[in-house]
Amino acid sequence: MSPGTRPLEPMEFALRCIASQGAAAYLIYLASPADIASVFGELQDELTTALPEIQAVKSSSARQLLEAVAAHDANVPLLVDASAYDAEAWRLLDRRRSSLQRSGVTAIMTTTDSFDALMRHAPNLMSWFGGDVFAFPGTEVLERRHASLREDRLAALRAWSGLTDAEVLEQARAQTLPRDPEYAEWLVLLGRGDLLNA
Amino acid sequence: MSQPAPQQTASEDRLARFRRLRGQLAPARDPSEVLVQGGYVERPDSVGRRIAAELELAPASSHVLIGGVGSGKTTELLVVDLILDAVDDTEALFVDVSRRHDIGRMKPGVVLAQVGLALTEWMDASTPGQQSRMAKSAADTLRALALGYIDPPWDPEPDYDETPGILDPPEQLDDAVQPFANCIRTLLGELSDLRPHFVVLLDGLDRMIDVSKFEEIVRQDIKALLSLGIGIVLVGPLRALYGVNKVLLEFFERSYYQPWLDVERDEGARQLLRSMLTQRVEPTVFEEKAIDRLVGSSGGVARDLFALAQSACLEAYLQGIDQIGVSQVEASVDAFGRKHMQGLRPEEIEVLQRVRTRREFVHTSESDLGLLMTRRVLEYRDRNQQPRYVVHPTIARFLKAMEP
Amino acid sequence: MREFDELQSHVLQRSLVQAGSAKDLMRTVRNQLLEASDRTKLSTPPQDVYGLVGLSDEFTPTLRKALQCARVALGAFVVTGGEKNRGRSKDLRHFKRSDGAWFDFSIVGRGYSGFVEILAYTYEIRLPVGHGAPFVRFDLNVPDGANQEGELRCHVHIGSDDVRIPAPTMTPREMLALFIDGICAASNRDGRTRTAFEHQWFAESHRMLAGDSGVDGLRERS
Repeated sequence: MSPGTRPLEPMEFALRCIASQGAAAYLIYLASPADIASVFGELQDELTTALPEIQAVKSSSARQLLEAVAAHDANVPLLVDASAYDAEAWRLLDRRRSSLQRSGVTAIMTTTDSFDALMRHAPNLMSWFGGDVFAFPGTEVLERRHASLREDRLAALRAWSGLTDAEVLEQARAQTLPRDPEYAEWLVLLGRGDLLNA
Repeated sequence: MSQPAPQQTASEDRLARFRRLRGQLAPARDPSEVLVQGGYVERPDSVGRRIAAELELAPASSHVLIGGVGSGKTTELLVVDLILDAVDDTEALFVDVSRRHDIGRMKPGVVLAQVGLALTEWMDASTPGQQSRMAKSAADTLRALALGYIDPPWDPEPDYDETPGILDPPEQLDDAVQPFANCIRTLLGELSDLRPHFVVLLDGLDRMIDVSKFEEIVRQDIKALLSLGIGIVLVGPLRALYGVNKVLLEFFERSYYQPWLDVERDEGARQLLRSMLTQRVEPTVFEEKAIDRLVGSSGGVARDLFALAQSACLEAYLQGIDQIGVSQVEASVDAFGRKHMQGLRPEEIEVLQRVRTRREFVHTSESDLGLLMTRRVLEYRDRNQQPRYVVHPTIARFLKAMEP
Repeated sequence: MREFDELQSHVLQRSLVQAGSAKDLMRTVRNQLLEASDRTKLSTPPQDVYGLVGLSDEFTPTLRKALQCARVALGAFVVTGGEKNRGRSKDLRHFKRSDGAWFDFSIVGRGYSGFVEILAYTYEIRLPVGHGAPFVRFDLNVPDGANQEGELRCHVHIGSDDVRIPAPTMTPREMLALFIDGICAASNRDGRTRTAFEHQWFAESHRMLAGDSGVDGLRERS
């Protein structure tokens, strides 16, 4: 089975884009069709914090992308949704790649199928990407990772205080829980932020 | 042509430094910018120099340059431009055909139109306000034919009817092409005192997939330019090297192949790639072993060398490391190889396994040619121009792991 | 302490409300740390900065997704920087300053439509040897609506978990600026010569600590 591209969380991909601004770099992020919209939105939020001048281009065609590139300064960072691009679109961009030459970072989101078409039909364009191609690991993987980190923190809180989750909740309800920030964090991690101001 | 790479400034923080380095190493960098900023390293027996030398002696000669993606063809074309700049009686016009026209819709006349536009622009810049009425009319007509018009700048209703003769000259150009040739002839006449010779450097035609359309362009546009006494250097499609398409090369007086560099067997090639890298950035950016690994992993494809180096640079920034070492290069090579394996069909993997294990590659199909075009298979040439095939070094270990 | 009621009341009037969402706050914190890494004030590399800053909220994944769809971000959250480390173990992941100091933090807040309110925080930095105290910790406790015992809600601990000194509330940006660039030896002069009092104090403190846990226990902990 062919090795996949390296999985990376959206914020890690965003960090790579931020570090590439002004370096004539092209980075690709792959996601499933079901995840594209939400991940694109998240990337846009992540990148806007560090690169407020970034332009998001949700083009349904390669021609629209070419128009968008021409409309912006070459140093402006771009985030492109290319999930709708098929073989013909990539062939056009391959022929017109001189028009895509720019100093600002260009981050391109697309699906695995679309990327396979790029690899097949746009050999010149693909030679610009190097190894900067990554994949969204999927919502379930991220949630598992998140849950694991949450549990690690809860374990550390339990070890520090000697209390159990149940004891903390009981004390919170009884308004006898100490006001230290650690206990506040504990309540949040247990999903009981409603007890914070009790 | 060599100048030292830009150095770190005192006020540069890590992010600024690594952004600068990544920019200097960008594979997508405009080759003309690389040349101007001193990043170019001349190959021994440089194709650009050879072509320029031929044109100095014979400015109306025709040359075609073919090579794989990322082998440096555009750069060599720019080197010709640079060298001819110093020749008083010859003007080189660099035309990227893909900039003003979709290469996927090529037809006879498109190249002539673009050359004509380049000539009018040169004329306007060199002799502002000094052109004759005939030259101005030719320029207006050419622009109208190339870019479109509402009112034609020529008389749409001539006061006589032309009747063609019985003879059909073999050199007769297509109706679409002849008017451009006529305009260009007029402009050349106007400029002949200022510049006796013009050479056109045509980039972008290597992106044509349809070789039959490429042949049409050669037989119409290129033939017309040559008949006007204009020298030609053209970057042609890789497909033109193989099979029946090879006959197209005979149209040109000289053909040149820009191969990828044989980093497996040629120490000179390895040294050349090292120099290309160290010319772009300060010497201390990479550890020595990291440079060796980059050179080996590039497979001799200059663009891939820079792509790998650029990615390794990013790894170093992210890891808080200031000098790029083997570990960062390995991460870059791994990511590159994974990308390079994407989109391969089972039958293509079979072909690649044969190339990897038995060095056998017979490109009989479009799919096989595709493996060359996409640099999964690399072709090296020895001194006798005998080809040898390898898989791109970054995918070798993945293929080995997939061995049945 | 009732003597500080007025002071505390004055200090707590300072608003800890910030525009944006919990995610915005997390990103702002992260970018400030990243910028410090780029300046080499932090020796923590950029990818570790990203790995060390986290955001948790009180929702299940399903509910969070539903809230995101509705473009509403509310509820309690915690922004964390480094692993929970009250034991002060260098084995747990933390931020490192280029002079050897190291720190971690957590910020608890509640999100509303368009803004967040910070409810509690704890930031602790451990200093290199000879920098006056082993650690400095700023705490903001959760508001105590019912029980007005006059506890110092916002305070700092300097080298002791038991001794509290009133402190102003500070925004995350201010706290991190203090930790990154503030709490350090002056760069424009040599360290002052220690007084005899300080020498004696440290020597007696060391004897006391050694007596508390035994010399072996002291070695183990260090």
